Amino acid sequence: MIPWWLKIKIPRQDREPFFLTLPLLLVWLLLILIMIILLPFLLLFGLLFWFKWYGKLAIFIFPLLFSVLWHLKGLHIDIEDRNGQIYLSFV
Amino acid sequence: MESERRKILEMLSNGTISVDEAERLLKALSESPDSNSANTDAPEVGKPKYLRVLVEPAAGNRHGERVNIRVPLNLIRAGLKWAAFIPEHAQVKLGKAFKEKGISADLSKLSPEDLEDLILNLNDLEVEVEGEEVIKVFCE
Repeated sequence: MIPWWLKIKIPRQDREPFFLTLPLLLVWLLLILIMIILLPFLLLFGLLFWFKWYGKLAIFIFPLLFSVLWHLKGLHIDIEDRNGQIYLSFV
Repeated sequence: MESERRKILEMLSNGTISVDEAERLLKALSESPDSNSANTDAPEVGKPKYLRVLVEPAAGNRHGERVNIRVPLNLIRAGLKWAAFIPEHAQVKLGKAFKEKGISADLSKLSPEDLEDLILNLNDLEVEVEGEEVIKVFCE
């Protein structure tokens, strides 16, 4: 399933870190809008350059992108060292 | 079940696993509750969903790195599909870089079957490296 929330951790000096949960629905809506606008141009580009690798990529980019976004749910990255911390969790 | 038995035998003949390990796997296969089931499309129980990478400082090391990564295996499957669209000149560069590291791999020739094989074998993967940090790589 597609993830609906992105949790990020914001570290604060001498205080407990702050967790922020961002709604991804807004990102997906924006992405769909951009995709709809780009679709005719990509199809035209793909047909014109079908025999080049980028032509094929233009045709298949949306399905490929969707398959990656669809499976993002459950991805969890938490890296911490002396210099800082990265925390991302798709739920 | 027949394909799994064949896969174990292939792994044995390739030297990937020892005779003892093959025996254990074959025994586990014959004892599995769904081994007699004719429906091979049913979802496998205990099939791994995530690749986990854990790095923790070893005992006594306070300032080591901490890593906790969980990657859905379906995301790896989806990501590897992009490999088919790597341009030829980049594939040559990749091939050279792999060779320098002693790896002979061609991502463009990676078929869905190879991928499933790789993921199936990841199921049994568990790496533990102990030094300044304890590194664990496994599927769950």
